[in-house]
Amino acid sequence: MPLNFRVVFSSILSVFHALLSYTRFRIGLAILAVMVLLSLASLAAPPAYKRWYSYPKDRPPQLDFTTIDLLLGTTSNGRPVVYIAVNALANSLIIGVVTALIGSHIGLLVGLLSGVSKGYKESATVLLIDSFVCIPGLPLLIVLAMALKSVMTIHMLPLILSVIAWAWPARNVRSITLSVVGREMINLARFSGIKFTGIILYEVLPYVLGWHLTNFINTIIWAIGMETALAIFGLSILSEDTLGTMIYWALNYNALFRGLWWWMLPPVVMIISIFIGLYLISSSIALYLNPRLRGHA
Amino acid sequence: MLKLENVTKIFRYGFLGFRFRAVDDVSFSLMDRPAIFTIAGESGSGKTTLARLILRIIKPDYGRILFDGKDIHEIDDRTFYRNIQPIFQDPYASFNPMQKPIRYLRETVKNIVGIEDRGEMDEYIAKVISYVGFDIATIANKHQHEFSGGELQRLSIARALLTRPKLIVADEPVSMLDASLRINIVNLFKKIKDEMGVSFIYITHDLATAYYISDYIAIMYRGSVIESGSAEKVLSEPLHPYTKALIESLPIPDPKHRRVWVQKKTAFTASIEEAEFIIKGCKYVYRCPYAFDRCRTEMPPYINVNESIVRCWLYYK
Amino acid sequence: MSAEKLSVLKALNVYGEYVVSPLLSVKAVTDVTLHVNSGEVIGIAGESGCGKSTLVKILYGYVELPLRARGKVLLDVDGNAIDLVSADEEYKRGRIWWRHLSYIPQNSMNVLNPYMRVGDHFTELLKKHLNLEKDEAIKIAGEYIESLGLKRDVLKAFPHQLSGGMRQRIVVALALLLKPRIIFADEPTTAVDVVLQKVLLQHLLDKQKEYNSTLIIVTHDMSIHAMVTERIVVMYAGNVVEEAPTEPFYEDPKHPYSRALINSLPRLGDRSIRQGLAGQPPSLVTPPPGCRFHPRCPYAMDVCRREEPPITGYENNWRVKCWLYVKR
Repeated sequence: MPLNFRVVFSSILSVFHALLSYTRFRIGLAILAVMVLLSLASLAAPPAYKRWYSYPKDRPPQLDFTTIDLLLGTTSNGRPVVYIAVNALANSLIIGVVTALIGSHIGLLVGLLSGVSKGYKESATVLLIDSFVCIPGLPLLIVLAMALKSVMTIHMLPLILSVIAWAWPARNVRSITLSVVGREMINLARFSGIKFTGIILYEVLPYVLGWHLTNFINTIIWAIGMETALAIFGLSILSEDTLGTMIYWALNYNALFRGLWWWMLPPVVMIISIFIGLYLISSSIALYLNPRLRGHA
Repeated sequence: MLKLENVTKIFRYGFLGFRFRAVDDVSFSLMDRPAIFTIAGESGSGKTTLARLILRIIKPDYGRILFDGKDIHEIDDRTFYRNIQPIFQDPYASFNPMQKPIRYLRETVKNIVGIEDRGEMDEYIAKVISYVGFDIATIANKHQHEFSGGELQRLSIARALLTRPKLIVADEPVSMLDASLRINIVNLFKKIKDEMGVSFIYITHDLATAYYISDYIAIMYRGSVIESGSAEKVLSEPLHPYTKALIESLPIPDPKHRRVWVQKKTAFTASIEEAEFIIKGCKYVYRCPYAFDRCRTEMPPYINVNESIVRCWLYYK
Repeated sequence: MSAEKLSVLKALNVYGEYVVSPLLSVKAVTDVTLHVNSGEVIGIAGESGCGKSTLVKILYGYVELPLRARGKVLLDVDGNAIDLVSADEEYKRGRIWWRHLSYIPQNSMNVLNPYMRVGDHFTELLKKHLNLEKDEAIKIAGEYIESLGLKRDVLKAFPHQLSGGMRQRIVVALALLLKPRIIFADEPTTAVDVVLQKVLLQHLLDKQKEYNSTLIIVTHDMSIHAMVTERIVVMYAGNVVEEAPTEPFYEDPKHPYSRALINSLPRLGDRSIRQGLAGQPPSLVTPPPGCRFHPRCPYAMDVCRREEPPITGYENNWRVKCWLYVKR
């Protein structure tokens, strides 16, 4: 049975429509929309903002709207906070999404294969997944980041984060797959002549996809958080603007102690907003997937 | 057609791995002539495990199962699925609720019967499902939740018939349906056997429907087949003490026979399932009113008595 | 005919519905009136979705959201008529349940507390309702257990350590412990094998006769009704469609549904062809107009499609709800 795109598209639309009825989804979506719009504003930033000392240092925000450049003040490096903030937001979002794209899909693949295999092959995959789930992520990433510091670029960062990011989605997908594969309907599918790939794609995957989406969004949150943590340790790409590096530089210059609140506040507010927005979206999907809770959102 | 030779399946459950033989040294044969062969027993008798062994869903630990002379694990998938098809107990669990049931009929026709063209496929399906009382136009677009349990079970049967199998293994196909609908399904089995020459292995705990449609019957207790033979003979002249107890305990939908049923007192027994499974001798020994020493230590062999086969020392010469 | 028996439980115009949402409800029981006499064995029969389990819950007085009940269920308690539908739950828990009424469910784990040992179930009941000391309670429990063919050390076990059959025996024992006046058994032997079924039912009947209690058995298994009951009540789609003494009922059922049901039952020793019913029970969210059986009834007339039939009564307490029997 070939993949019918019209059917797939209309079922995605109907799910979206159903989710819109949940208040928490609407709020989450609104927050995310604001974040994305802000990050798009980064395209309008003049290239000069990257140069240090292009503006006077340590200026507090000028809210008279005569010039956008000083809307959120300047940093101790003489750079306008407003442009740094929107760029940092954009970069962090991109890192988060790319890591999620790589990591959650590796997790999906490994989880599916693990759920359908038996015997020693299964034990091997379970060992692999559980090891990576249990290894403390941040210390491992710190070690990796330190080791690769000389060659790390902002494009490599998502790859490094993916080394850990795949594990929890894999575990989640494996448990869903296991429960589906144990059901009588899989036997019926086999007796209908449906082979291995058919069973995974059309019998198991429909159950997994919803969770895959939740995993994807959760990985975005996780990746942004991890990158920020690494940055605060000074192990991210300090020459680029991310929400994490912004905080790093602010800490480095003792911004809070010196009263430069306008430097510290934007990244923190943005991180919190992204987290809340994405969490609301992810949990509304999880709510939708649980038929028993469906009436209660 | 189908031959089971000393088939044994060992399961373990519980944290400390209590091992028991869910199916213990079962042997019987099914001839080519179309027949309905019932495997009857209570829960824990091993009948469902036996069904899954025959359907190749699980593998025996000892013994083998032969279909037309070949070991079923050596037959290629397509040939096996063409000849043997299942009907499962729960009609709602048989089909994937995320897909339309018609998909499985189409896949069966495509993969096993070999018709790829959609038009031809649907024509073929239409003929078979009209036999079970459906019209393809009405069911083609329905989702699983739009069917009732009885309808889904009939669809299951139709799907099994698509490959023109020699044997259909039905595992408690009517126990989840209402009593007034059961007889329809069971009548359908009879009709299929008579008109299409398909044999059935009918797994059930309901002796009344078993008597109604079966040609042959095998009674199972804790993994062993303790009596088998023609259904008429076994159920009207039972030999094994367990079969006798079963038939005596069966309530009849006729109040005139009530007196006999109510007054013949049966005592409570305190046997423990686990102990019955691991005993070396006859598994019925703790509940059997005729038990003697040999019953405790040795499992009786298959003994022929007037065309029935019993596993009971009482009949040993 | 037997002498006029005393009515011990009267259900009057009982309705029960499950509220799914503010707009949707499943009308599981519609306008049921039933008189249950002291010392009789009565069966409530019907297939899935007919409302018999819901009716029993209402009769027992166990009504919890989303179930809502209307009507009266009058129980004779020491000369007073108590309405179980409106009675306070504390009162029912303290004075009615287990003592005047007891309930045997299909699944033993609906009654047994998985965190309590079997023996504690007995002693708790005996202490609470009969004010017995712990030692005495244990002794009585032990005797009872042995009469069921179980060993005394079963009392020390937790429910999950026992097999399903053993648990069901224990649940039956608990229900009979305080010698209740009415015993409700809702599919008491469905989960149990045929041999144990006979033993349990015989035991129930023996105790029922001994205590002169009333036994109300609810099951879809018409064979059990034939073997055990004196009177049978047939339900379909929330209504009582027929109520009759058992033996004449099986010989010649009046309502078309009852007739189809009896005719569809195979029995050992009889290979004559039988027919079942076509179609399936109606939706109880939007029941069909008129007689709820009319879509499947081979005798359906025009009036059946429009109006609900009245109840026609016969002598020997036989009642049918069908237009075929309404004299014009």
